[in-house]
Amino acid sequence: MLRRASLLLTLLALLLTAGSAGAAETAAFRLRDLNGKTVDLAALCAQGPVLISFWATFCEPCKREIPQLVELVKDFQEQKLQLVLITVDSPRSQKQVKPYVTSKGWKMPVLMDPNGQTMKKLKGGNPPYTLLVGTKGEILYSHSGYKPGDEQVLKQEVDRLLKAAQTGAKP
Amino acid sequence: MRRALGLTLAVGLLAPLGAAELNVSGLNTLRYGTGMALDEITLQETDRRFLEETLDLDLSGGAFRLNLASLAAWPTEFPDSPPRTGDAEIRQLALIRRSLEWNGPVNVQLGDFWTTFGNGLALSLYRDEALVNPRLIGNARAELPASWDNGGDGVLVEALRGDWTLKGIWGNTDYVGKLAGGNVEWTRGWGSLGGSLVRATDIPQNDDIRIGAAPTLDLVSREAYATLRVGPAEFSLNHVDQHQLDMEARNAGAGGLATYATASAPLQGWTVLTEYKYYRFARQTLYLNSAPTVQREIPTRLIARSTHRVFANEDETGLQVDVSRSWEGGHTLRASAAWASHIDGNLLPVLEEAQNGYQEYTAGWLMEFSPERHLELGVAYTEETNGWLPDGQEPLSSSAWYRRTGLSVVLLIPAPLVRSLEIAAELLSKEELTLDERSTGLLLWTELFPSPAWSLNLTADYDEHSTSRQDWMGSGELRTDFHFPASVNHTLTVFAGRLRGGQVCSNGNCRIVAPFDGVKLTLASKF
Repeated sequence: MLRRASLLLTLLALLLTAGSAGAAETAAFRLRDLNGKTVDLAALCAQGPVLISFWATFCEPCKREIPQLVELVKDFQEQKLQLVLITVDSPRSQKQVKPYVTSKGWKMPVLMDPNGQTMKKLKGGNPPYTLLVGTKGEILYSHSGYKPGDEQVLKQEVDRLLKAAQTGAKP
Repeated sequence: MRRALGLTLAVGLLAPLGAAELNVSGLNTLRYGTGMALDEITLQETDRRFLEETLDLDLSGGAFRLNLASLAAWPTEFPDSPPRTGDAEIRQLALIRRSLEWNGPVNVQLGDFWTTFGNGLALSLYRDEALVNPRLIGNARAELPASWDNGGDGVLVEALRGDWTLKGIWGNTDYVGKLAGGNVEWTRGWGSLGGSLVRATDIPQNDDIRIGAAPTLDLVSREAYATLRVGPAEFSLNHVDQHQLDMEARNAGAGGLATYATASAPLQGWTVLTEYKYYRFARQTLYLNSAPTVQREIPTRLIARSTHRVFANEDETGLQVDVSRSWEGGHTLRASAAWASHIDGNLLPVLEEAQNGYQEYTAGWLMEFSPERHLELGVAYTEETNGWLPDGQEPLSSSAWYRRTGLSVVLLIPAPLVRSLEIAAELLSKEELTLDERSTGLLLWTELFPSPAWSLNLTADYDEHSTSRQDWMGSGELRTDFHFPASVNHTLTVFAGRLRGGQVCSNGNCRIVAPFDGVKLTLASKF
């Protein structure tokens, strides 16, 4: 039975990757911030689209990407784009997060996802993992990794997707 | 049969939600590899090939989410290796994960789950894909059991309601046995208070060779923790007491206690973090895989291959201090120092050979001139001994005393033709003082970013030992991202060359990989 189910899933994967046209995937979670306050993604989305970056203190590309995201969000203030950082540090390094954030002077919400369970549910493999979430919680864009110049591609995508979301057109 | 019924039930629950509300998303990963791999047990080099596919599929509608993951694997075999645990699982089509989740006022998950209680001292169930063994390398048999996945199979209930966090688990794990437990945390502006109770039964004791030893172990862990915030400063204290369920054996068998404390505060423009641990167990505790302090990744790859680890049947006390400061203009300075040793009656680490003294010092200076231009310099020094013996036990051989010094330079610059170029070099000097052996390691790598769609990494790895050999290794990895059709994001990675193998760490969790020489292709498709 299980073998048949697995085979079925494998075939299904090939079909889905050949022409996925389902409804947009949505993101929904509640996580604690660095001060223990509960933050609900739905409440953030109600205020405007959210750019989420899953990162970690041990992840060098993440730490390079975040300053670029801070700059990017400034260009979309009219669209009320918000930046939210979610750390996936394990308990081993979790206590290093707050001092790092303080030393960088970051003011955006920083949420904690110990061991990256929420990131994995959102199909993120390893940090950095970037998501653009629309006002209804729909995932408009996702990207794994960071290479220099990715922020320019992301900016173009954010611009295109937010315009499409505003007009109701399919991205 | 019960799983099949569960699957049918889950699909049945989702189906009435209607196709219009049903979202389908997933990640399909195809891996192919061919080359020479070294069996760590027989030390035999063998031609190996494998093809495997992992499909991680989500069906969600309303408050429900069904996750199914399947693995189809066709690895070739090491001909002379004895069969080991796990073989059966990787040679067939298998449903490797399944869970049904309901996100309402509380989050209820049936099936496979992962979670952390508090700071992870009492319970930390994690899954780290970065440590998943490419089955070509080591055939998944040489790796430590569940070193990348110690998740549970049962029920997880989580609730974040106002100031309260409540978690409960009940189920099984391959690693620990049967698990049941709860965690409650109360959070206010001034800090938080929390407690956990975890009962683990039927813990396998395969490595226990004592005559008359029980084949399994039953343990209960009680944890209390608190965090206090005073302005920008934060202090935390964790304490876990673990004992056998058979109270008569409480002091003679497994169990012990662990204390972990931290203090962080800004000081004259610097941020300072101090961590302290005191983990005293009669036997290795199974929950402390990702316990804090000292056992962390060091930001130089060569030294990270020999990261300090706490082994079975050892206990340890440790202290770690991290300082960092960022200046306007993109300059950041970070430094850390860590000390650890066997406890043996000491509250603080004793840096002596007979106490397994360990010390580590690192410093890094990052200069970010622009997004496309930065320079990073790093230095690290570690010293590690293993001379501790239980009372009355005579040494079988001389203990080892390792001293490692590492230097690293990373430069990112814009470059003609390739748009952006990263060049890095690391040098490691390693001495074994007892046997007077020396070795040198050199790691050079460069990464080219000709377009946002693809990158190319080239690595050269040199190793020289005073007593035996010199060895050069080289490898290249090409990564490209593309969309086809527009709704599906593919990442193709092609690796070719030789890998030295050794310790690989991710998110603080480490495992050993065997050397490899060959080609690997990975196609990950997110839809």
